[in-house]
Amino acid sequence: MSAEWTNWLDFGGVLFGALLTLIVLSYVLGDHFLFRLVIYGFIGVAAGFGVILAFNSVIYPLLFQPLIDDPFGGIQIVGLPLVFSLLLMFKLSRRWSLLGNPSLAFLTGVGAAVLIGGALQGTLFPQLLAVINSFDTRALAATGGSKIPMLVEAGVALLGTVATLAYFHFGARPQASGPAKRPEWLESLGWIGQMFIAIALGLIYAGILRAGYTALVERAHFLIDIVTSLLGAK
Amino acid sequence: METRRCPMCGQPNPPEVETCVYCQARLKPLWEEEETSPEGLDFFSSSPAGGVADDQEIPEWLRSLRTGGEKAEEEPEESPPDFEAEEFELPEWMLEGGEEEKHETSEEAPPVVPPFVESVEDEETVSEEIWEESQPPESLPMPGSLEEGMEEEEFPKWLESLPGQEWEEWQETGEAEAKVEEELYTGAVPPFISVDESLLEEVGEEWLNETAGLSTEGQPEETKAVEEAGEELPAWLSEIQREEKKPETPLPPTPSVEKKVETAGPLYGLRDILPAEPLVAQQKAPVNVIAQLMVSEKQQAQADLFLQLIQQEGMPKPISPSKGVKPQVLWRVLLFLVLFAAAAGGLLFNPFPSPPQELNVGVFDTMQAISQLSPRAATLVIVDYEAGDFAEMQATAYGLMDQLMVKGAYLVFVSTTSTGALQADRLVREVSRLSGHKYMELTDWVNLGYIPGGAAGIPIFALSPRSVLPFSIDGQPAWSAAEIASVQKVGDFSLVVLLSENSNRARMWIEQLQRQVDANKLILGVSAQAEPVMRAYYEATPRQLQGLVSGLNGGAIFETQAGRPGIALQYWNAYSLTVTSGVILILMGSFINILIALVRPSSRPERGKRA
Repeated sequence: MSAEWTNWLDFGGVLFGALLTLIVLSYVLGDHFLFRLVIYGFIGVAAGFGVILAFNSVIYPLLFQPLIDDPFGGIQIVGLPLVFSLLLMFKLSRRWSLLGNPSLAFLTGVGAAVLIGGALQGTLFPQLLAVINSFDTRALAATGGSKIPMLVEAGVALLGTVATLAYFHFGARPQASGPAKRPEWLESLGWIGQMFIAIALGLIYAGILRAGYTALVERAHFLIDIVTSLLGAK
Repeated sequence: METRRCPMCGQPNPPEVETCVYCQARLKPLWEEEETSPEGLDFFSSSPAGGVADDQEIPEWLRSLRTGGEKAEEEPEESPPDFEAEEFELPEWMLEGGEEEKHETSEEAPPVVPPFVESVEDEETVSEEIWEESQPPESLPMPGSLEEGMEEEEFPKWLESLPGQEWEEWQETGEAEAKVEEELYTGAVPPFISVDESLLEEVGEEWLNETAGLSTEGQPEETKAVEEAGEELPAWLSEIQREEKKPETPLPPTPSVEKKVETAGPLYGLRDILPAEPLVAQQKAPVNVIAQLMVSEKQQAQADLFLQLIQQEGMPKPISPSKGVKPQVLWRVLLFLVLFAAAAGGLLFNPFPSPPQELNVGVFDTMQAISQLSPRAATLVIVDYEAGDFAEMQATAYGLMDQLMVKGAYLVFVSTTSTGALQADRLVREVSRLSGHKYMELTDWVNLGYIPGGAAGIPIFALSPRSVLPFSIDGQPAWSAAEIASVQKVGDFSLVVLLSENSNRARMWIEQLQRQVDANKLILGVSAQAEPVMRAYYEATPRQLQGLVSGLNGGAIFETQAGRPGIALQYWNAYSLTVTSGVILILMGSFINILIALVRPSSRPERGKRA
């Protein structure tokens, strides 16, 4: 394929991308057929690519390649995963779906163990230590900064953590005069935690807006670049 | 096999057994004569042709009476049997009147009418049908005939005291009543049968008549006769009459079960008996017991309201066309045009020429970590974002990737999303093209592709990346390069760069790599929307990340600090103007809404005025 054809293909691809971009942006006027067509096309392309990727990156190199290279040794490696995979395919049948339960149980058990273990060692314990160690005066002294602002910052972080956790404490005792209600001190602490939660949600919302603005700027840059290219102004 | 069901417990039994094998209840009746009269016991219609067996079973005195009556009809001149010679315990009055009875029954006498009925006939209130029904069976010796054969003064006291005659005396003399009862229950003589029937006719007890198998036709006339003749009836009998005189209300049809004749057990042949079988044997459907909670009216009202709400939730509601649809579309288009104009204006006119000058600690730490890399150091780049976030992630990671290429790091790309491999390929090619690097695949970088198994695949990949992903996305051997020849696990990489727009996915990678990769080897480039969550990992003590670059803002700072302008700085002006426009729009919209709320009165009805 010559370079000219390559350039034409690239240019056609760019134009097609611009057309798709305009169709997607036209969703601001409301849902319409072209928008759905583009979205369906994107979903189909992604699914097709996923199938190709799964075969090319997983099934062939991890299942067929060992058997091709060394059938006797390969069957020892891929035998058990192959059996589990075949059993999992029985889930497609309503009658024989019971045979797929061992594979599903294996996946569920391993997945839960990995997630729980990782959450404990990667998030829960380190974050608890982080809150506690924020008041470590020796570590604060090692940073060389003033202790007071650091202690204030650590206190705010501690208050936010405790207050936020108190907000999610829903235990209450029944009262004779009315419905069940949390203790007053817990209610107050929960109200403070609610403020921290609102600030965090606002921060996340601002981040989503920033991400959206960035995408809009990138698409605007793409369209302007095409227009300027077509007009020969660039 | 024929079985016989026990009337008591309902269990089936073999036909030959006499008692139930389950409850020991008797299955066969004790009296053999009941079997010979399947239509039921009929003491009143025992004909002379009742059979020899009947004659053998009946008492001697009754047989003698029957034979005597028959002989008296056939041979009126024959001498009567000597009742006195019989050794039966007949009442004295019967023994005394036996001779007279013999003579009277031999004649063709007119039907004997009891005295109390005669008095009714004289008044012409009783029809002939009633009288015929009140006749006793001809086969039995007529008490009337006995009565007729006796002298009036020879009647026993109990007979004289029957209704219509000497009721007052009968009521007064308890001895006579006791005597009557004693004679009735001796079971010796059938006179009580006739007397009993007469009483039944007088009283009008329909149920007694039905038990005796008599017809109840002509009941009103009979009752009328009794009314007239019953002025002297006892109080309890008068009460019954008054009850009968009441206008009858139409009764519901009697179930057919009540008219059935018992076909087994000791009650064999009787009609209209109560069922003796247990409820289990009747195989009735269990009664549906409605469980009702002990709740107060207020609780019940609340429960009803809650149920009503649930039911209303399931009901489809027509969507009324909103009046504000078109203005919303207009507002939406207007907002889009404003924001797009801001972005285009920022790109075209470059209103903010100065790059961001602020210092970001996360960016600074990231630059330090990259600067410490040795040339051609093996660097793992995890690209875990979707295609829709490519714009922001490219702007965020451009300076970082450019810096890695400046250092000449050997890049190994991997992803846990299906499209992540494509994004990695596009990222490295774009950065290489725009920044002027000539990074070549397999020579300077390799794309391992997709890690299967999600979160469970990460620990395996961290322990043995060669076995999990032995080939590149193009099917080439991935681990043949000299820069990664010594890499046996993820911890052997000089640096691990995680690029993700999703905080959950980034957290998953951090958690799984926590024990495999040192924190000082892990840097993070995330979207602005994931920064609030991921910053906690960076600012923790001790740190779980070495560096953090977030969003286009972080990328622009990185490029500024590195002195190599890239995509982030190219977008910076437009981005700043768009963010400013967005902020202004939000403030203006909020202010306008506040004004509208203050000026326009609320259209909602007040709570107190709600119906």
